[in-house]
Amino acid sequence: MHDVERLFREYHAMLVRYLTRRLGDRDWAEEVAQETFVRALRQESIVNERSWLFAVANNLVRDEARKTTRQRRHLELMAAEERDREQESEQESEQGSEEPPELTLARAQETADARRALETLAERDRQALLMKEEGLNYDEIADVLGIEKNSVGTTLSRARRRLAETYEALQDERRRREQHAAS
Amino acid sequence: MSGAGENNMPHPDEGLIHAWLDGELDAAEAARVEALVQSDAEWGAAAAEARGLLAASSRIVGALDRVPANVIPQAQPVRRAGRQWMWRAAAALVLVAGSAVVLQKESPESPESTMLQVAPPAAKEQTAELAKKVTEPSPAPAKSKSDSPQKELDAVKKQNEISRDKDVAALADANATANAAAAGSINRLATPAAPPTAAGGAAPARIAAQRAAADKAEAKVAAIVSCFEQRVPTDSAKRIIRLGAAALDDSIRLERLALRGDTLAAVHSRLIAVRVPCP
Repeated sequence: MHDVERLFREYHAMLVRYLTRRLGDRDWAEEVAQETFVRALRQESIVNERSWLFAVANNLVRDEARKTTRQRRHLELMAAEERDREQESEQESEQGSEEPPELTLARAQETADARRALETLAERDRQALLMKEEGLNYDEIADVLGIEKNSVGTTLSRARRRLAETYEALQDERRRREQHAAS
Repeated sequence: MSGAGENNMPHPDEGLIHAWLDGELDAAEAARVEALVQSDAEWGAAAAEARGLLAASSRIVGALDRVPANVIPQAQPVRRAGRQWMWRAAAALVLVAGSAVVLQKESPESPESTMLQVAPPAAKEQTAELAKKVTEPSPAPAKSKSDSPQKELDAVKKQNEISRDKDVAALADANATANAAAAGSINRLATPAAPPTAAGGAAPARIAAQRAAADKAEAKVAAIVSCFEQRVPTDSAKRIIRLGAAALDDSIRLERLALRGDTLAAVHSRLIAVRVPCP
């Protein structure tokens, strides 16, 4: 039996971040990560811990996605700083948060565009990209995705290009809409 | 990795360049790619572009992290419901017990064992029901912990002022009724041998005593409600979330997003932010 506590300490935050980025839902990500570690508890031995955890998490997400009864929506949420006591007034409530609304809105839009851009990627490309961002090496990514290591570079280059180009296009479109609305 | 070993590469291998930038090539391959990038303009441009894509994609992926913890409400609806139920039950018990304590103080001669049984069942049920309503602020969840009771109290008062005032008044009436009835029962228990005629003669005094008891009970109930309000976290339990326009329609339908809060802001007639309870 491996040391699950150590596994949890080392990989939980990474796994939750990966899943949150992938799913756009922190709660769902937490649930999947938890289930992943539960399965690790049952596992007699794990050769490559990081690959194993990400592979199990990916499978759980895939299985979960098949359950159409669980309706989930990807939200783009932006949290404002917690209001202080004075900002409890209705006037403050109407204004929103401590942060200038324009800035908060801009950030929320960036997040929304990032999410939309990510969702245009093929599932494998998206997984590869997000796993690379979490520090997995090509061997591990190839292991999780079941592809050749030689293909990982190509997969990542395709994913990065698509992501960046789509995101830029979304930003351009948004700017055009805002200019049109302003004129 | 394939491609790097060839002497003539008419076109840069983008995957190979990314692998090189990611540090995934062995030393020999890395040296070859590096030489190509430095000697060949096309390879150099491709490498520069790949560096930009790496940076951009990392930045874009990082933007996905702007979904902080504790802003997605009702993470565990089942557990939340359980907690709310416990709060309500605890509140009802506190209120009923509080009333009983008042009665105990008002009628020290009454048997302690009858304290919670002297009020007529119907009146007690009404009290418990109203207590449940009062301690159930409709837009504010009574669940999270906070170390700022006064802050929470202020928030509760704002959000529940109208409905709560109404319910508190009704609750006070119900408690007064229950306490008056209980006081009457206690008096009867304390003077079991009093004949009907004697009871009729002492009616004004008893009514006055009952009114006094009811007034004190009302004050006590109000104090208990206030105390309970301080336990109701609203300031920290309410957050403002901003919704991306694209996600708005879905988010409104999202069962996990309790859109029970106030609309905070709108742009071009579109809702962009709402107040929601935190998990």
